[in-house]
Amino acid sequence: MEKLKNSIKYNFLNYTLIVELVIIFLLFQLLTDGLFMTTRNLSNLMLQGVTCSLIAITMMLVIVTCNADLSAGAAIGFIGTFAATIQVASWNTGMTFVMVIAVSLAIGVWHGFWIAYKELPAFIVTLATQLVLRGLNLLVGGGVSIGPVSTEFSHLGRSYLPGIFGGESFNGLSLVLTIVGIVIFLAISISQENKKIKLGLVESNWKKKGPMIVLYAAIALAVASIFIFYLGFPFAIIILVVLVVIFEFVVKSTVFGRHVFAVGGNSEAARLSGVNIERTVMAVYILHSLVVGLAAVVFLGRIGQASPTAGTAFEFTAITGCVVGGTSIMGGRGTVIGAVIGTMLMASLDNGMSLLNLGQSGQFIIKGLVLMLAIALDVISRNKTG
Amino acid sequence: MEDYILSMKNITKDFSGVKVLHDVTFNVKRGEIHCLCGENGAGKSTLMKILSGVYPDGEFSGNIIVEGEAQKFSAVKDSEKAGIVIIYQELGLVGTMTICENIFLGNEINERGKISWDNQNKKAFELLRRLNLSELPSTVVERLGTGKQQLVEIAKALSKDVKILILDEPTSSLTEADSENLLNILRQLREQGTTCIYISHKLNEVLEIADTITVIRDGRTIVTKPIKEFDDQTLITHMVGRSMDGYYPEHARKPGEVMIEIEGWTVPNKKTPGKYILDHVSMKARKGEIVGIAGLMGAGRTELAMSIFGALKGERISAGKLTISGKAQKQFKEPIEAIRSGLMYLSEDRKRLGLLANSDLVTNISISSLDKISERGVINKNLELEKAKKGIKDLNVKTSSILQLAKRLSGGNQQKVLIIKALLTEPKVLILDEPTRGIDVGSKYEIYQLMNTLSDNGMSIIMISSELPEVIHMSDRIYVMCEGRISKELDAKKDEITQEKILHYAAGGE
Repeated sequence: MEKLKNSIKYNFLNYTLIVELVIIFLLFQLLTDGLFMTTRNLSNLMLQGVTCSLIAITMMLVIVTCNADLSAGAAIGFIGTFAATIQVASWNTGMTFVMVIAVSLAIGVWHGFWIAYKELPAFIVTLATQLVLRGLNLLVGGGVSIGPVSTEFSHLGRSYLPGIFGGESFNGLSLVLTIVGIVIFLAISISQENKKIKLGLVESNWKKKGPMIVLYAAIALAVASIFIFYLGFPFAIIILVVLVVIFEFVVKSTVFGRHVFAVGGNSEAARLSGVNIERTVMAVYILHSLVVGLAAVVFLGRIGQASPTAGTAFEFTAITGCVVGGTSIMGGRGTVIGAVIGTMLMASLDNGMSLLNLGQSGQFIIKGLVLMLAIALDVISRNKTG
Repeated sequence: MEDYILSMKNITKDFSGVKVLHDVTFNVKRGEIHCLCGENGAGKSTLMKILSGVYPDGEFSGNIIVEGEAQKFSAVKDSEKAGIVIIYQELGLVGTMTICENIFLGNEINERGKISWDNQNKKAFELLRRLNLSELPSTVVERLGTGKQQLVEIAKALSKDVKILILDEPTSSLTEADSENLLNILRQLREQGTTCIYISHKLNEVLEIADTITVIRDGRTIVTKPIKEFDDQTLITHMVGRSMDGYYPEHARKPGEVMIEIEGWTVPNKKTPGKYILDHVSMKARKGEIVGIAGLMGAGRTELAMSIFGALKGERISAGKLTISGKAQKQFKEPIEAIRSGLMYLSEDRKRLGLLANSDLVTNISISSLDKISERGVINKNLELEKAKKGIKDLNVKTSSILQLAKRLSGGNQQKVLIIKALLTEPKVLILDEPTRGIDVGSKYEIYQLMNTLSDNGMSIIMISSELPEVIHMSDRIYVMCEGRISKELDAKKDEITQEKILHYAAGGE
């Protein structure tokens, strides 16, 4: 009985995210009279959420090392204005990308230098950068919107995968990609489970494990079908999926990933174990900054022009998303997929509340309370388990 | 009947089943300086924590009688009300506040919440004069040296109308002159009628200042006698006096060439100029040898190990040569450099400096040797699991799964996991800091056996230990440290190693 209770409790904590997602979706579906769950709206919703979701992936790593980045939104704004200015001055797109990478690198190194090597509190350092980047945005852009960017440039943010069959009511190429992806996912899941059983790490339990894997595949298929039956996969979503896969691998299977979590779990023990904390934190900030740069390009491509207020509060959405998705603000714990789903959940809130014509005031209040609740859950559950 | 200001009777205390105090009796006469002596872990601190209410009534058994009245303290506040104030080794002052603010912190003289600064300053001024301090009450505390800060602590205690003042190792971070000054102040306070309980490892100090000495050992009161019945030999005998049972595996070792050697290793104390954390330390350890480092708390043993390992944060090694297996090495700046050069260190503080408590055993085991099991930054997980499984089997770690979280293991098994981690780095020299602290007898024995096997296979082991029987039985040679220096090297081959000698040199004897 005790065991059952524990298992329910454990599973509940593990799946709170999914439960929350289902509740929110059903609620909006009811309140909006079915407007919410249409392929068109869900596709738009995810496109709106993609920028913050990209940031959330590496924001998760930053938070895992017990740090933070409050400048991500301002960085999106500044990099956008910077890139748009170059575009308007009719430099070529390749050159724009190179410049964006350079600026991103500079921001990452700047943060890494002060936070990792000089041991300044990340909260303050990135808050300072936020102000500086806002200022630079106004300085470079002169406080006005700049655009439009070239069509070539905006592909990443705006375009969809082309159909291959032509004229059908669904996007063929997207369907093929989805099927290939799901087959690969099934193959990897099954072979990993087999390996665990062979090594004696877990008992063979396909009755329980099998349905779980199938369920995950079904969820993936359901999400993908939203795009397949609308306009096909947007490039932005493909970028997000690819980054998720890459960072899942980085987190689970690389020395760097291990070091990141060790630093967050117990930095002094990690240091004595031979982890170079400074270098690890520096690398995290550089990676994060590059991803923010990429997110800025995707965002600018989608909107088509840069504005002085672009990116405002994106870091808030990403941080909230991470925490909602199970990243511990006390460090050492978090998952890539959780961070992305959490951020998408925040995007759903945004979208749903807009559909309901809830004013800014209500949206702020509700989002603030969600963050509060997520952090409370994290801290209380951690205090309980010790 | 003596006039006891304090009488603690039949105090018994255990920590989750392990008894640390057995039926201890401790009587203090009014107006005396009473010294409490004992080895590390004898139970002195526990006894004082009971007296000051840190361990509240109900967590121990026995009676505390202050001035003839039975007391039940449920918090530190209660003991302070009864006139008992304890001053710990680490100072409890707020560095950024003034002397006056610190003295009255928590006991501000106020009228309906408004602090009466005139009264406070006047009283602080008087207290400082009483302690021969010429500083103004408005001086910020962090500007003072450690010695004067200690006096401010005492002023704070006196402001609370203290009847019994307890000092726990007050001179461990003071210079000679400051220590002398402190002892004089204590004598002066005695004249004025304050009773003082003084805990110190420094036997010469104890013999100089005490009126009465109580020795406790292994959680039991051994003796309480006036000072005239002690000299340093009888004091040491009382403190040691335990039987050494045959629970250390007998073993003959054949040390080979020198694996690690340091010369003139010096780390200055940044806080107190002129004092050293490590003062020209020279030592070596051979292949297949177990070298013990003995000494009292604060003698600099852990700092020595950490500084060699490149892990002493915030302090600078001002001089010193390091040689590992015949090759001169630069002083390591980061532990990773030391590990790559074949040196590994396991901390005494498993929780804070050892384990990744919320990670599984595999992660804990492989964290130091990831570069050995990865290719271009990608971990070979099969190999990782294999190594972890083998280590756990070889060292007989009791766990339900290798994916168990490290914090769920018992102390002994946690220590074994850390040892597996250390061994996977394939060290030539392994420094173990208090390797058996707080672990069960069975695991202890297994760790001793493992140390013997490792040294047989040519590893050079340096063991820091406060447990005298352990360090005596396991070591081929022992360096005794005192106040940042190596005060004596003792060799088992020459039959030089005895508990009395170690204690003598650890306490600063010549």
